[in-house]
Amino acid sequence: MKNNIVLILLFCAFFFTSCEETVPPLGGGTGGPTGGDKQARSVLIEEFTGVQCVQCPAGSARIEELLDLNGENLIALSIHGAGGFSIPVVGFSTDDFRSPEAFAMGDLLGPLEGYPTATVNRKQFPSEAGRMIGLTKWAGYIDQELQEETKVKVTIDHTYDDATRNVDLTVNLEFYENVAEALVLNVVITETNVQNYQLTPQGDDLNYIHKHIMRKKLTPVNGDPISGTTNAGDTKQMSYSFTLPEAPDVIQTWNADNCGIIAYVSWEGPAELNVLQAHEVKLK
Amino acid sequence: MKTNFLFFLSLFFFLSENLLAQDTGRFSGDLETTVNFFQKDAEIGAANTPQYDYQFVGLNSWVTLNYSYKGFDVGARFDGFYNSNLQDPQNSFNGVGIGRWYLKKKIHNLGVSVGYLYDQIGSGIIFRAFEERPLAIDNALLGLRLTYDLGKNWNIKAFGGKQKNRFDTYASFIKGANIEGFYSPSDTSKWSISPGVGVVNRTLDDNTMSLIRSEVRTYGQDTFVPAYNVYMFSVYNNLVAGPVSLYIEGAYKSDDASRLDIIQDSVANSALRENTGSVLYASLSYSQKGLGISVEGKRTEFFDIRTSPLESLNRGFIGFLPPMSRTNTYRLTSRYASVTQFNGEQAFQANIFYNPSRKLNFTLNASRITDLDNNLLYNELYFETKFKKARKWELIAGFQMQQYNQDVFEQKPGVPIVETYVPFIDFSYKIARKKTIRTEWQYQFTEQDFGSWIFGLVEYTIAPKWAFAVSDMVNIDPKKSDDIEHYYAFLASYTHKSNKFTASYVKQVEGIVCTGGICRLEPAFSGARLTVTSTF
Repeated sequence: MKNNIVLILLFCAFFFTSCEETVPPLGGGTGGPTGGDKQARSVLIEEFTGVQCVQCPAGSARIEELLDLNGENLIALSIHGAGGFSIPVVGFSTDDFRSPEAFAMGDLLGPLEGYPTATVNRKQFPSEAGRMIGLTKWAGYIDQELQEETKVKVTIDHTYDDATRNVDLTVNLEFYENVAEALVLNVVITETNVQNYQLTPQGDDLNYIHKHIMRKKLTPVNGDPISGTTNAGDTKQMSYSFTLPEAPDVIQTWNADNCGIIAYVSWEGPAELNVLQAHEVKLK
Repeated sequence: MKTNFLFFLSLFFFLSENLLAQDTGRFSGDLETTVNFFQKDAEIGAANTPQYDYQFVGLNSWVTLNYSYKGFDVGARFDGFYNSNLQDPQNSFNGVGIGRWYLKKKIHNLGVSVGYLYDQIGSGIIFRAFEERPLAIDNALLGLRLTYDLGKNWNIKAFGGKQKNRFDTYASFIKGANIEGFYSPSDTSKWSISPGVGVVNRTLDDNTMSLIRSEVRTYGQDTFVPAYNVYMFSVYNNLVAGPVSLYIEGAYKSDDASRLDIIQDSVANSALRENTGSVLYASLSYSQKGLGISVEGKRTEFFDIRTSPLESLNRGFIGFLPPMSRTNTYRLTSRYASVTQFNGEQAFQANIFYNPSRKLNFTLNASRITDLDNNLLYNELYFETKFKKARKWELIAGFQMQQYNQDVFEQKPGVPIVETYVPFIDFSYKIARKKTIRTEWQYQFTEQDFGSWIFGLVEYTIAPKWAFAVSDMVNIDPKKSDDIEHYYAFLASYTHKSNKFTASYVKQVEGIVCTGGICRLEPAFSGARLTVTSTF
């Protein structure tokens, strides 16, 4: 017994000895590589959300903070494809942000597990079970992605006609280096600052401001294949046309003043869907 | 994973080859397979998941094989999930592979174990590697464990490894040690003690640390320098003195980042904050012939210990906090159950069991759980009595009252505390030597959530092989719909020796499913279910 008590005391003394860590100070973010005349690296965060998802406003708020921190280097897209959580609430909701492509994108990028959840550049990071990532990891993965070199420049030329509500757009790609993987282009019409119902931790909020809503995907869910070679110096142009719908074709007329266009280049998959570069412009 | 498996397989065949010629050893194992056939029923909320929309069939399967020979124990478990909603009820998971393998050997006083290990220190507060299949939790530690017997009643243990994450492992490294024993002045003494001390350390990997540093860097004045290491200590003892026993465990964790929901601008934002943590748990019990009394108390403050502070939901738990409310089994008494609050909880529970004769017994249980500001989380009062009439019939009757903080437990903002009153009765009657009919009736009165329910079940058993049951759970005073919904179930099971086959057709309402205080919200289920279990 006595020997054992001595052993216990030694055991405690050994483990209770404090271990001081030597770690670098936190410092500020390192930001992305400037790369000379290259277009700055951008990162796409695709948030899966729903008006009945009580945890989702926390994710949306976090995205706004990250947008403030990262400026134009971060591009946000809110996809209302969170299963049953995205169903509008009768009597409260006066719009429906769901779309078949939103759910198809959930199937493509999922499985969705817990909310808030988002993909960062559609990448499956090595220590993650899937592409969907919880919000306390977003800042870190965005930082990691911003460290990557820009491989392709993405710009958007567009015209919008107020009278016809028609938008014609051309996405221009310019490759900075050879890319061996098959690539696709994705183009999305978004609307932001839409006031409508949202379930929040404080209860029903009829005046919640929804941001970066994916209203329409102009390309197929898996993207439009980018044909031809994708070597350094290659350029591509891909054009699209779309008319912003009005009620009664949709429940609420989309406000052109709040609409935008996001274009992004990603691997075709199906195994890897990583986004190489994204770009966003306002419609007006 | 593949390397581990090949190593294990080689070892397994090496042993088999060498042993077949000499001695047979002993094989054992078990099988559990469940096939779910999903049938959409939007009326009850069984819809809008891949299984209901287009997959229709999902399967979960576990097959375990163990082999023992001359002190060697080896084993492996095959896990298969096809379109499974077990990991996440809202989604589909596919994965097939070796879910577990292990090798154990005792060499005199030294015990050596490698592979996927299940173990715990004390009551599990600072370390518990365990499996809870209904919640898709498998926290086995992939690593090495050494134990050493220090005489007859004392042993020391040390272990290290990485926690299992589905068919992979989490990146952080977990190691710990534990010494515990037993002391009594003599073999005839009426008192004894079983003390123990444990320590666990988790070291984060560089990638996780990089993510945490990026995250906390954005917190402005709330930022902090996160630590790679967290240390957890626990000291515990079980004192037995005649009919009284007292278990006390105290645990402490060093500064560590953990997720907290912080309300900012009317939005609950999950953020990392650095805190030390503590748990104090005590259980006092008294038992003598026909009477048992126990009282438990627990106080928890910031003890959400995971493989990484970035993990959430039921993922990556390193420890386990003992639940402080009764584990109910009847359908309506178990409809609402308390969910362990890792960041702050104080809880008390008392249980009295009185058995005045072999034919009659009484159980009384009371529990109360609040947060650290004394806001009510859960309150329960439960009474049950059982009366047996020879071998002819048995009657169980009781009453339960609950207050359940649905806002906190299910994160349903603004909803009121659910108050329930549940009388129940369970009557079994032996109509022949092998034939028994049993019926259950429960009524749950509540003005909140879905409103009041009634549940009835009739079960007919032809021992030892057949059992048939039909049940219905009816929302007789619906608060969430205009219609009275029926959640009926039909079940048949056939048992032959150690094999059991069960087929059921079920409509099941949304609700909390808990195992030992770890819970999750299960959506409604509609469809058929086939289950096969076997041991060999």
